[in-house]
Amino acid sequence: MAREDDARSAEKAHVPALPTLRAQQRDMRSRLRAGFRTRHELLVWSHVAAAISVGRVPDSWFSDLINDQWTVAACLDSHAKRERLCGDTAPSPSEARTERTRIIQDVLSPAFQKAVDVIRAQSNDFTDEQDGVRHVDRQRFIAMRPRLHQRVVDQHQALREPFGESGVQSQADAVEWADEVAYAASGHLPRDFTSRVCNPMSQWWTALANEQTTVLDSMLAEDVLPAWNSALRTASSNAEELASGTVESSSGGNLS
Amino acid sequence: MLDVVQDPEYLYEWLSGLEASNIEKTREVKNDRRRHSIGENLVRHMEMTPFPKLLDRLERTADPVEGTPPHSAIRHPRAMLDAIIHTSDMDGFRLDFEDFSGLCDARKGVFEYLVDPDTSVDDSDLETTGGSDALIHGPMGRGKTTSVSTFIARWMEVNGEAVVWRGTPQRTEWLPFAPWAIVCLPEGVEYTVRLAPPEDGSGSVESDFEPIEVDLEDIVWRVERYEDLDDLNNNVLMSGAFHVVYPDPKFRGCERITQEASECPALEYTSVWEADRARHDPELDEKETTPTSHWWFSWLVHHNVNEKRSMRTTWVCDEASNLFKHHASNDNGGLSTKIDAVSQQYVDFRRNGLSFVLLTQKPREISWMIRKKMRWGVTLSGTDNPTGSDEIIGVRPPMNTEMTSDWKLGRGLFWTSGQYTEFGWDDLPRRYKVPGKLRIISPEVRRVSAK
Repeated sequence: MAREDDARSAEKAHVPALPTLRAQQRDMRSRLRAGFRTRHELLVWSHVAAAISVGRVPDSWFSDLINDQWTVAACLDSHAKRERLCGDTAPSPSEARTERTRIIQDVLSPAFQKAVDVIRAQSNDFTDEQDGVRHVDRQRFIAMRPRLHQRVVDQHQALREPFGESGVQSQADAVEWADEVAYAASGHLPRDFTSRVCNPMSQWWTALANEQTTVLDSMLAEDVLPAWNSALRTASSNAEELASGTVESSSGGNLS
Repeated sequence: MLDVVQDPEYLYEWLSGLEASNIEKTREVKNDRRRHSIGENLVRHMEMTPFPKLLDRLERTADPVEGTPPHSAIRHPRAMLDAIIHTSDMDGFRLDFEDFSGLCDARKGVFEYLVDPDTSVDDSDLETTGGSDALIHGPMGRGKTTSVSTFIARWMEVNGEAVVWRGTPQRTEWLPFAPWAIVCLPEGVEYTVRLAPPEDGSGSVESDFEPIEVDLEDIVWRVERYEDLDDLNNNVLMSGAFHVVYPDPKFRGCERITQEASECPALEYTSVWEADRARHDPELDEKETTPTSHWWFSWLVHHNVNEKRSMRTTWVCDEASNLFKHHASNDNGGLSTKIDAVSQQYVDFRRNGLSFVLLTQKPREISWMIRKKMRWGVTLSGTDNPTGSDEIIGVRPPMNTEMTSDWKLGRGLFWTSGQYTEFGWDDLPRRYKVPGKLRIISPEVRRVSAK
């Protein structure tokens, strides 16, 4: 149940429920300041941060964040948890606060600022020389791109799957999951990603089959999240994205 | 039915028998905010769903592409809802504080929908403050008039705004709304009103009848006279009501208004009487009569000059290419300069709450000076929707494939930059679709012109 709530709240951060991008960014910062219960929760949060910044966080950041024990410890919500992870070298409460502030200053703020710039720049095609569109930072879909938004949702679902109740139990499940991950990366993962994941000798397969959460988090941060981040960056730069696909004549949307 | 159509007296009786029951009890007439509005009255008579209920329905309607609710009109709110729901800075406060007191039920319902966290559209999704616009295009017989009638009812219902239909002597497509129409005619100009038979495609001459003279007051809600532009916009036009305005052939106030407007060339007008005088007075230079339709240019500019009254207004211009001619020259009463003047004033129209709705069969017959300022396009079935780099209006069409040409009647595409949505509309109730045409003509103007 706790995991379900966690997933729901993580997803909510980038679905239309939150009214403004700025509010979403504020929410992201406050969640970091409050601290996370687990490393996995931190990983999910970092993906949402990538989504809110439309792929403008550095690709290397996920691994720096998740694969550095001390940084992870600094982001956890209790000192006991920090000590379990780092023993005597665990960050003190004040060091933890300082580290989180550093992440906000060095990673989130520049990325979020770039995201706002991207959105503002892309809104120019529906402004004119005298009167711009207001509230360009208040959008329902991420970067005003519903398809980009859908890509984020696809990624989030793929991220949750190995950690869900049914998990990835068979090789067929693994193929299915790896394809979903690759699809959500829009070509930013190596073409052999699925075969690597499903190779019984691979570290991916071992971690998936044995539900080695920590190892999975680590590999996701190393390989998958950077690719997804690039995919979001590319998608948000594509101003040609359409609001919807070809519409057949239907009977919906009657205004009478 | 044919008997009725062929008998002018029956037709007259039908037309004058139509009524907008309870229109005299509306909030606009009684000046009582507890009452229903003229727009709500119109929507009910047209058997349309109240707009807040329509939003609920769209929330539950499957999107034509995704296959799941909500409908694309809700998923892509900038495509259509932004052009329908007009808000002001004051409304921004209302939404922030969720205080909707004094609003009519329909507008209140829409605002409650926008602030409800469980609905898909947030008030911040509707970016436009002030007026909007729409270039509605489609071939003859594909429902331009019926679709715009549906939109007019919605604009009146949701925004409580005045709608002004450009009256012309030949066209009375507004006739289904006659029981709600306030017909505004210039003071001191005589008009004859004739009811003409419907055009009969059968080729039988006998089935037609000669136009008969009728009393306009029997047919429409009210007939008002205006002295000049100030009088029309400050005293005669009624907030929340539907108006059919006939331009003043004497152009009273037209030149002065453009002299007062900033960033607007001084427009010149010559009435038929002035031209006639000049022709007969050797001391005066001969002048060419300005077409009466040019009055509209100054009427539009008046909205940006008027300091006495600021009223949300939607202007509906049927056959817009007759007024905003593509490749207009200055030979014809300075048409090019006048179109240029309106183009320069365009952004302020929106800011001053004036929405601009143009209807045409072929968008490219409308001057680019005007089209380039517009932000919403409405493509009706039976014609190709624009794609890619097509320059129809000032925003690039977001569609990359052709969709609308083989859609059935009563369907269309509403689009703006980056977003589009399909939509549909029902035919108006049969009893309001009176066959025949009203011709509202000034014999005096014709007589002087003929001289």
